[in-house]
Amino acid sequence: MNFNDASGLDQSFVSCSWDAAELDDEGNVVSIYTCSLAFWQSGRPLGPVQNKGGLHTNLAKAAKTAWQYLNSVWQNCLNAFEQIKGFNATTFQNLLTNTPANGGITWLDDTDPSVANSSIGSYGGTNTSTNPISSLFQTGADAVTLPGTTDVAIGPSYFTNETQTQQIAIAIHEALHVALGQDDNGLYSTLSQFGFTQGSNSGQITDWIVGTSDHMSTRGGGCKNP
Amino acid sequence: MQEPLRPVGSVTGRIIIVVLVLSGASLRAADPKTVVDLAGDHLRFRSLVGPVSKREFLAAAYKFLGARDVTLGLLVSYASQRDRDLAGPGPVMDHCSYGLWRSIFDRYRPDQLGCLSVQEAVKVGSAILYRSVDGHCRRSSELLQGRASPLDFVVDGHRMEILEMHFHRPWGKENLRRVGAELFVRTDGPATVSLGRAATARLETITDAEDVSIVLRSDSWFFDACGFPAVYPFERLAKVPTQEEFLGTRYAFCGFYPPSSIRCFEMSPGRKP
Repeated sequence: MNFNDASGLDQSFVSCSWDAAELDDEGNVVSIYTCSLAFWQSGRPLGPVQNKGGLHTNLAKAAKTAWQYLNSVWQNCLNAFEQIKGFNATTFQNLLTNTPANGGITWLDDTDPSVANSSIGSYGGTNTSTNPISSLFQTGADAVTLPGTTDVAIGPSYFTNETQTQQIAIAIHEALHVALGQDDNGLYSTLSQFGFTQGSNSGQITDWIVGTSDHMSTRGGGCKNP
Repeated sequence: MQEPLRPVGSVTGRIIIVVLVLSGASLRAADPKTVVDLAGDHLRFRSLVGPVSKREFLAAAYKFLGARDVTLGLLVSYASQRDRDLAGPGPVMDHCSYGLWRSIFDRYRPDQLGCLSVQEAVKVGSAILYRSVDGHCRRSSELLQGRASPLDFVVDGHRMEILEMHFHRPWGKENLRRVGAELFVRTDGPATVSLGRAATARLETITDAEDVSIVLRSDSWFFDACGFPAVYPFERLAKVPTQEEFLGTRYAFCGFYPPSSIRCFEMSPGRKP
């Protein structure tokens, strides 16, 4: 179950197969299984829908979890980011864990009609467009950063198309845009020095942060090509 | 550089007052609103919204960009916020796509609303170019300093043309002067890593700036580059491509990372927004 979304989707293990063996903390050989997942809601299977992270993920909590991951399972990422000119770990922590009044990101949920219908310019960035926030998600983006602000708008795809691990990685991905002031091309280039291989879409940055091919496991160490 | 006229000691007090106004080293406080103001080592960027006469703009441009240590800079003035929203950087920093560009571009109706009104002073190296377009679609350009347009250069036998530039910096007060620039360059050659690398190296030599990157295309279709305007005001888009046509193109991106590394990649625009 999505720990961050009690009313969200349950994951049900459908089948598992032996994948590998490794040593646990006490030196015992343990088996690693890869399991396929299905997603259920209200006792009703959704069929072959993958990458469901939760329809009601709390965005601020996901961001706080992201900072925890950067200091544990995704320590590789923080080690890399700290080598980037202009990156400041304290500022980054503040962006992910603090309230907006204290330097944290404002997460704007486009599935909230009051946010979706509000104008882009109403959030105080450098663009004062009267177009609604919802117009930014007509082509399916998960999340976008408003320039000149610490505001990140989250679109419906974030809730329906991404695993909860990807949702946490998206918090990091967007915080990188804010922290470094770089667009996707800039991030591609900056992160390439740490092994990121450019693909054809910015979602690959998120997948690189997760670092595992199933886009769910956090066992990969983070920040490596899945 | 040709400085604006300065008052001399022998003229009367009345004339001095007039000349001071004409010299207009800074724009009047009641006039345009400063939307973005960045100053880093060698780089300067200021974006204004509100009506400004050409004379006032040029005076401000000389002051803003004239210093010798400024080697890459842009002063831009949009007559109105609507002009900036269309002819300025996009509304988001990331995940820009053909679809988002088209949703903005298609709302622009020059036949009903008139052309966008924009003035720019661009400095690359020591040369400064003024260019403008007004609400009646009259375009003009004028070299303010230097021998040739700072937007044009040749690399490996191929013409390079800087169409626009976008400035940015990392978040936080500690990064106030860590300004970077992304240049949108059109070439008559192929948009390849090798040509992009050579162009970036040339720009690094010209500007001596630390954080400069380029997006290189063989056309002006910078639709998925968030820093490029949805409506490029200084040239009419000859053809509005379909999404399929756009996705079939390629571009190269190169960034300069001091002390001596230029990193590049070459790709097609993504299908996923």
